[in-house]
Amino acid sequence: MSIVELESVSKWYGTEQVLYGLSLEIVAGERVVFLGPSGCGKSTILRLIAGFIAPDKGGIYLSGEIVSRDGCIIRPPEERGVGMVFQDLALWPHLSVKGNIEFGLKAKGMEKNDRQRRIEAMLELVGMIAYAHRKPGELSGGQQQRVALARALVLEPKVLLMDEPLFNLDLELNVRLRREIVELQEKLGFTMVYVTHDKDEAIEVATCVVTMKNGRLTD
Amino acid sequence: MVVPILTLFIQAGGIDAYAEALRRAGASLQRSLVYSVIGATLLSITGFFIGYLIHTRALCGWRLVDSLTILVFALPGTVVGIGLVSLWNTPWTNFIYATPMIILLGYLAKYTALTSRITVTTLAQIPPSMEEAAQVAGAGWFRRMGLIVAPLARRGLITGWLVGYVFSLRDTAITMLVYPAGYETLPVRIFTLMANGSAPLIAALCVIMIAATLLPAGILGVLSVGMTKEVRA
Repeated sequence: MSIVELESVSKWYGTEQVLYGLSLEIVAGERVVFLGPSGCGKSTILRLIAGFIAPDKGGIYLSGEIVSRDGCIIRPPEERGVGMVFQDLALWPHLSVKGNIEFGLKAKGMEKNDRQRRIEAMLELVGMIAYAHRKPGELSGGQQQRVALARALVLEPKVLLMDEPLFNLDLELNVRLRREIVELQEKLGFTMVYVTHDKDEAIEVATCVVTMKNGRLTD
Repeated sequence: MVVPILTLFIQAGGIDAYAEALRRAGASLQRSLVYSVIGATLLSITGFFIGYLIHTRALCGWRLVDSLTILVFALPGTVVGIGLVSLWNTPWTNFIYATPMIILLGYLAKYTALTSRITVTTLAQIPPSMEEAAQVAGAGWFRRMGLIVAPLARRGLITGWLVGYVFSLRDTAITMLVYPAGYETLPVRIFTLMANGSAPLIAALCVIMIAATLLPAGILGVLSVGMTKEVRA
């Protein structure tokens, strides 16, 4: 069964159309990468799935349930159980690494002991256990990247959206983190929807590459 | 700029004038401080909500709301005051009009533009992904505002509070028109005492007014110096 489905989705920003009747299904457990030049509408797809914006036409389904349709957001982002890693990572600068990861667990109302265990397991998994009390500003680019991943994954999302997450890193680190991301996904089994403009990155990360141009899928 | 303030100091002279000032206007000073602190807090909260709605364009007609708050701010206080009197001076609304709440309403009506504008410029400096990340983490609006957006916007919020305090404290035109008998604030008291009070008394009251204006900024300054020292240590 498809875990994410877009049904003839069109989107305009003002008078400019950015998506043209897009339909696609993403199967659970896949690593789908949208590949295309900037402005082709690939980030818009992530924002639609996350629920920050609604499709002007068409519908979006998560695990078979309708979440947005024809200009309306039926389920807001906080109720979709979808994780996201942002292009600028969006780590909260006033919270420690632990605080960043803990935020979503607290919002869920999880007990302190359970939170503590989950956070430690997650930090262990991304190799950041020694940095729990640092602020994001005191970390290197690669470390920040790992914290952003941990913050999203600790909530055990069924779908993880990643918007050019390795954009700001040098090539060596970029290549290393691609592998780490793939390993994490294989270990945890979440569905991944990944956006990049880099062909090599796409091929290395994906189990399925979708190419895009001017708001349409290309083959 | 410094000359008139210096003149006031000299004119007030010794401790006697200040003692006399506090004896005759101490209650007004106290009221002024209380109303301004409450006013600034209400202004900060209202300004944050309106500013947030303007910032996210969530309010249909946000442009209208924005322009209206600025218009009311631009109007002379007397006009706003007279408007408030005609609106609230009815038997049914006496529970507000006959209490200091009407003064606070006046502050809110006139000065919300300041705090909402400060909120808008502050929020514009915070990347939208900060709030979006909290949203996908499952946090509802109040949690997002309280734990993510407000802490990131704290400088702007503190500035807004201080501006709200200063403007509430110094307001004369609206307060003079709407204050219920026996509830006059310090600027109004100074104004009425000017008719028959002695020059040193008035000067002393003005100096007290200056001190009251600088008070919260001073407290904040001391606190922030203390905090920087702590961080360094």
